[in-house]
Amino acid sequence: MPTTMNPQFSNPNAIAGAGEEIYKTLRAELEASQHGKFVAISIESKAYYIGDSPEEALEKAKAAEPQGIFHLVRVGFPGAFRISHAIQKSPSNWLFQ
Amino acid sequence: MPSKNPLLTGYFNNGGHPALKVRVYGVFPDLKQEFEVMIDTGFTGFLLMPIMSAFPLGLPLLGTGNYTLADNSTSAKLLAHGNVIIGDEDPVTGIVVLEPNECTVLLGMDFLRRAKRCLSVSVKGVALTDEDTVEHFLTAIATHVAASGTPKVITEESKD
Repeated sequence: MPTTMNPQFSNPNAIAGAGEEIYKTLRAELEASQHGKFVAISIESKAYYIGDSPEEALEKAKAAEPQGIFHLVRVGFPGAFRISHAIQKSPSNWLFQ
Repeated sequence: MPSKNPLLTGYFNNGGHPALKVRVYGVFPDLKQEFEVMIDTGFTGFLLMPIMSAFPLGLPLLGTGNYTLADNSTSAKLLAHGNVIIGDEDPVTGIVVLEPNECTVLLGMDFLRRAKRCLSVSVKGVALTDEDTVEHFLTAIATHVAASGTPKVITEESKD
């Protein structure tokens, strides 16, 4: 992440929240044509990069915006990843608030 | 380039889940550390680890991504780039999910896909087999079956 990061994006929930807000504006277009693909959304430029895997989407994003901060989405799914193993839910949420 | 080991052997951890020892690093291989990872086919990602364990490895941060838990709730996590090495194999690069709480390190389906490995679990042990080797093996079985006719399907009714 850039060393001069916008303080507005200093915690993961703020980054994810901003990413989800941008995704809402793209959802209809992407879900019609890119279902199941991964999309890395640049929080600052609002540009987005599509890939068949999380790595591909984020590699394209990093190549285009080396200092960018990205939120990863899987089109048509509530999360970019799914996990079935029980992980303790964060009682205090994040280290960085 | 070293040849690919056709068979990597894992074991069962204290909880009885398939596990493996791997080394993880970010940009600098000198910072790599060894972890016991649980192989979790219910995790669609590459690697998940506690953020406190990730700090010394120098994994470059990429941003965030949501993951969905078994109860369908979602949670935002930091994502980073990381490399995973098993034994003497070449490193496999992927996206590491950083969990803020203490948790078991998980190796997911995206790792198996990227490493081209096939997971076999039985009561006798855990093996990660080279996908090409498995494919050759399955092709050989299919060829043998085709040459010897349709395999007989044994059912409860027909076995006597």
